[in-house]
Amino acid sequence: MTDPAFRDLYEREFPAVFRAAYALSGDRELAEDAAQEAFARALSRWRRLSGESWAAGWITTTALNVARRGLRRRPVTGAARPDPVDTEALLDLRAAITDLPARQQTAVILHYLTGLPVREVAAAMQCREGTVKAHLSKGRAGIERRLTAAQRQVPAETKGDDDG
Amino acid sequence: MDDLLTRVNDELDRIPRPRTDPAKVQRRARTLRRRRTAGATAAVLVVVLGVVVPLSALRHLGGDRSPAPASGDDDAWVGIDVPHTDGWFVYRTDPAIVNLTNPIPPSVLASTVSMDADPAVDANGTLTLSSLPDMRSLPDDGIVMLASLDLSTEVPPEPDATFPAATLPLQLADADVALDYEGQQDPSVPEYLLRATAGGYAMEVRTYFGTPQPDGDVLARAQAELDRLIVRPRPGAAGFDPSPGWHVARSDPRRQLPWSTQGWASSTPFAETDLPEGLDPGFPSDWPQATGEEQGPDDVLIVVREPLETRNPFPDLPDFQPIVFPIDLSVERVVRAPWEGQPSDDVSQIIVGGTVNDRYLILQVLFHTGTPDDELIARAQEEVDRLVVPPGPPPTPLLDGSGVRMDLPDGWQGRIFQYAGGGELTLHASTLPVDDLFHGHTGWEGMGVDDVVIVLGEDVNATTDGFPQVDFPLVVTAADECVRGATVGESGLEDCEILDDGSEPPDGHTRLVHRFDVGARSFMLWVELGTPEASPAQIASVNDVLATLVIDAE
Repeated sequence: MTDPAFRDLYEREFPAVFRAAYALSGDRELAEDAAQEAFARALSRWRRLSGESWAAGWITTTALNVARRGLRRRPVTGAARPDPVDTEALLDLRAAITDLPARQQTAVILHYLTGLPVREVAAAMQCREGTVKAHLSKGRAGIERRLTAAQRQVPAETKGDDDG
Repeated sequence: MDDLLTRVNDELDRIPRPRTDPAKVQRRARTLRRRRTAGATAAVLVVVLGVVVPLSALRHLGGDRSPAPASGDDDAWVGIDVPHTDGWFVYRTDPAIVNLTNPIPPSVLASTVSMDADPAVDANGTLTLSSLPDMRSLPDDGIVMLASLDLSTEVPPEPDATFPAATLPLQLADADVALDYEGQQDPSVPEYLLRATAGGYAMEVRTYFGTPQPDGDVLARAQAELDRLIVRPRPGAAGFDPSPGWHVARSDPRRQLPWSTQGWASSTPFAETDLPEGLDPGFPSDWPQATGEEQGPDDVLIVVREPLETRNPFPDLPDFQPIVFPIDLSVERVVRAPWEGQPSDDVSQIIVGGTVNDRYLILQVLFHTGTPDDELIARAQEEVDRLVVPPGPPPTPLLDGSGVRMDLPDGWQGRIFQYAGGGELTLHASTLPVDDLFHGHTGWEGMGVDDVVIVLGEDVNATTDGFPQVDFPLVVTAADECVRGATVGESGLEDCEILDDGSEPPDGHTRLVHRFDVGARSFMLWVELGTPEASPAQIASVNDVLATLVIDAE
């Protein structure tokens, strides 16, 4: 990695890219692989990305796409290996996020979980800020619907267990 | 939900720092680069290998037998050409499949050896390799030259060590000479490789001679052909002619932007963030957001852009009729906010969608008042009258672009398109009339039991080691059915979606979903039939159509 600018970007942004992929997948190994793959893709086209303010966002978006695909390939029975720091909140949110359409997933993770401002999310997703806001709004609504449904389901399942 | 997000972020903050492995990144990047390079040089390798395969499966060197007039207009825009000269045979990329965001490098092949007395041409007008020269029979004074442009640059190509700055004509004396190279068929055929950034492109010229030591006359003849190489700028973007009191910017046609090509006109100077001082106005940001936010009620901002790029004509789209000039900005057309992406609450706009010179355009005239008066509208009208739309590449009914081809049965409609600015390729074919620029149809729910919609989408961000490599002809079966709500992977509904807005599929349809790789390229295929239980005969008829699908491995 001879280009200092890329090396700096890699060292600086890798944790954030990993964090985004991990937030989506819940699988540390998959998230690391996705982040590595995204940086490799960036390096392979560095001539085009170098100096762009949206390069980090592009890499994160690519990592999410790679992680998303990794999730699809993972056997249904092969659930993510539990991470020691995983919590109920993270699992709940992850389950809700994975039910969202891909563009909403990306917007939600980039903005809420990696802290990118809307403008940078828009640049990374190559759309307008208004579109990002719409994705975020729909994404939040979708997550809240999912969480509400899950909360309703828990007492019902608990009751069923008691009956059984 | 904010509380949940806070808790999740706290948890994510506690995750141990991930391992970094710069060497692994570098190795993988090298592999990815090699794949792209392999794509760009595939035509040359096939010439060298001399294998009889459809040339269309490689780089679409179109079958224009010499003489090859060097057209200077945009009607046959390929980007690179060499005029016919006695003693040379010229093949060039078929203009019908050249596209500004197409990763296929436009190429021109010139040879002193007759490529074929009667080139075999397939149904799509492409040649078979049997018409190309066999390097093994290249005479000592024979020359084969292949020149290609790299259109995949998303920013203006900056010269670097691999593609150094140069001026045309390139000089053979600057070439890297290889007597031993990948794919070499005849050890006596050397390769002279030139790479340069010139004429607004990154370009590559590979020249082969029939002897390892071509003499001065042969080298001079090759240089003379190289001197005739023509590079043309990309077709211009739509935009506005300069005029007093207005500020204008327009995408530079030599560049490929990561967003839609567009033209801006503003009654106020552009905001620094939209068009930073010193930045070439040919490279504006994706939307003059800040300019709009700074404008007052007496100001006007006009944007014209291309929402997507396609070479296939659409019949009578309700929202994209041919635009008649002058465009009438009457007060009746003013629409008040809200709309997506509005810069502020008290705004209004006139929005016009349509076609001009075979280009699909959206024109937006933004007023920073909810009630623009006649004077303000008239001012905007004067600027809109200065809209210039250069001709786009000529439309073609063929579904052939970005290395994907498919024949349409009689009565079907289809297109290949990309969202402007390098979006992913989509092939869309169906028995329904196309009446929506973006989604193909407005009436998915109204599909008849015999109707079929096929959508093939490329996933450019996918990794390349996950889906099975496909065997052609591609076949779908009932086992590919994607049932609503079923779990496919961990997000079944996503797999069943067919529109990018995430809308769910209609009830009462059969949807087949198939994921596959072709070389390093990944694709998702959706087939939707207007019946809840597709019969084997219906699926067989779909497979008859898919049997004509050809995808080039990158």
